[in-house]
Amino acid sequence: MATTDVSAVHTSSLLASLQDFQNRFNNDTRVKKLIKGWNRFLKVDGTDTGEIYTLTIQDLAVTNIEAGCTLADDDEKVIALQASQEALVRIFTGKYNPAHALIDGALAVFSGERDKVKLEAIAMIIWGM
Amino acid sequence: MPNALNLTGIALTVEQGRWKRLARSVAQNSLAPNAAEVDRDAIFPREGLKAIADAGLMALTIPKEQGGPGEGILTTAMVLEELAQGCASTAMVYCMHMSTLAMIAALAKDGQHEAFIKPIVEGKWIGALAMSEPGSGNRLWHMDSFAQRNANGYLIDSFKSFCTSCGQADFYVVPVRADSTQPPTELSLFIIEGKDPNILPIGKWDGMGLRGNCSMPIHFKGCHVPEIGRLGPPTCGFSMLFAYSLPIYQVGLSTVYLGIAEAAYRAAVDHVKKRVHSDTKQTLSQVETVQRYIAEMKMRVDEARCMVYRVAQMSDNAMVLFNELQSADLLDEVIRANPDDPFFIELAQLKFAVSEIAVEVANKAFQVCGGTAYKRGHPVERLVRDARAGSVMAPSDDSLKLIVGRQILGIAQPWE
Repeated sequence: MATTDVSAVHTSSLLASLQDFQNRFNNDTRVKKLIKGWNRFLKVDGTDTGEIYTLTIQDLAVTNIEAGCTLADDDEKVIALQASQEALVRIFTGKYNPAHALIDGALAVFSGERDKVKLEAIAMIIWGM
Repeated sequence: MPNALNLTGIALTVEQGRWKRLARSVAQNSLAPNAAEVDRDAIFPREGLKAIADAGLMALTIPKEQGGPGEGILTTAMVLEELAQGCASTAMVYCMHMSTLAMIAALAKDGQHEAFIKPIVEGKWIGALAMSEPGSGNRLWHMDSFAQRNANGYLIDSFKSFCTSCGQADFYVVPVRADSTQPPTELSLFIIEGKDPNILPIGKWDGMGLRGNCSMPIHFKGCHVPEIGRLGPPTCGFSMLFAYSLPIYQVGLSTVYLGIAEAAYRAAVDHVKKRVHSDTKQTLSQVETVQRYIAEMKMRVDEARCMVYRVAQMSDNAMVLFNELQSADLLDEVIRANPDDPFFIELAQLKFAVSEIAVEVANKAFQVCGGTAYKRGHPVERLVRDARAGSVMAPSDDSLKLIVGRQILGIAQPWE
């Protein structure tokens, strides 16, 4: 029986969920209205697997997803999300409302307050309340 | 026994604490002394409202950038809880006024700040919401009356079944269909000033309880509203009522009933500690049945307070999100797409939960106080009648339960 590389499955599922999010984000005209002038880096940190991705939000779109993060955590343009890989996959596929994840203690967000509200509003627009 | 611990479980900001103490002072010094007279003679509580205005409470939720204190729904609930313990009628009038503010603040443009927000901030204006119509009763999401456009603005002919502060308010927020061709939920919001001679209060308010709040029918009989009187875009009314009025309205109503329950509970405790039977030489508080009643009342009041504070906090969080969406002109669209979001269901649930508790606690206080409370003019007698308004005041408890049940069972809401 063939063995499966579990970490590879997790990595690809997280990356796939982020790419799905990127597509939804970039194709939603309402999101573009919401994020006028809002350029940020979204650091997505899977705390149980150590997988980290950085999404670049620039000029009304997620323009890049890359593995790792070279930015300083205290950079005010960085929004850091920390959760288990499974929770992150569920959040970025619309199966787990990020506001609920935050209240459940399943997600930690390090950012300014306005950025947290913006993320919640984006989630609401893409996946409903 | 003195409290060494914070039993409320919420750490107030210095400002919130100040507003709460101020409201308590107004309730004790200005509202409570007149509550019996307001009730007995069905007097609109002008004096109490002036004390509230003098304390700076009339513009509590108007944002700082518009000249107000910028407080939220949780602070308003704490203020209302205090006021309602002093005089429930006055608190209800204040609640209806507060239910108009967030919407006006969010939608006001250009001259509307000067025309409408300034007199509110200066404590000169008290407002009212005129919503329920004879055709739809307490189903507040459905309006039959409509606006007619003319060269000078709009003509509004609308009959509203119940309107708190009827004939007394300085302004009314009046939702009607945007025009005769629009369906009943495509609403425009208008501000009609109380000085309009075409506003006709119908009859005299002679309610069973909340007798001071002048909740008569009102006829806006061909009122001419200039362009400046329309709030927001023509068909935004339904969404804006949901986002900016419903939260404070439902939390506010619930808090008035919480205050009624608290006042009844306190009156009962006070009574049983003082009332001495000559045969046993003991106070009523020594009777085990009474002790159990008191414990049950306290438990229910605490339950109600927990629910009110929780949903008030939730509403403040929702307001931040709604403001963010409104700033991008997306709120109307998002609310329309999510008409039975769990947040709105929490609001619906809160009101019937607390109004049922208020009736239960007031009835127990009545039972504990016995024949004394059966006499006209006793505070508990008044509170029993005041509490009873909760279940029928729109939207009625039965309508709200239908909404909650439908949401849980995945059935479309009546307004969809």
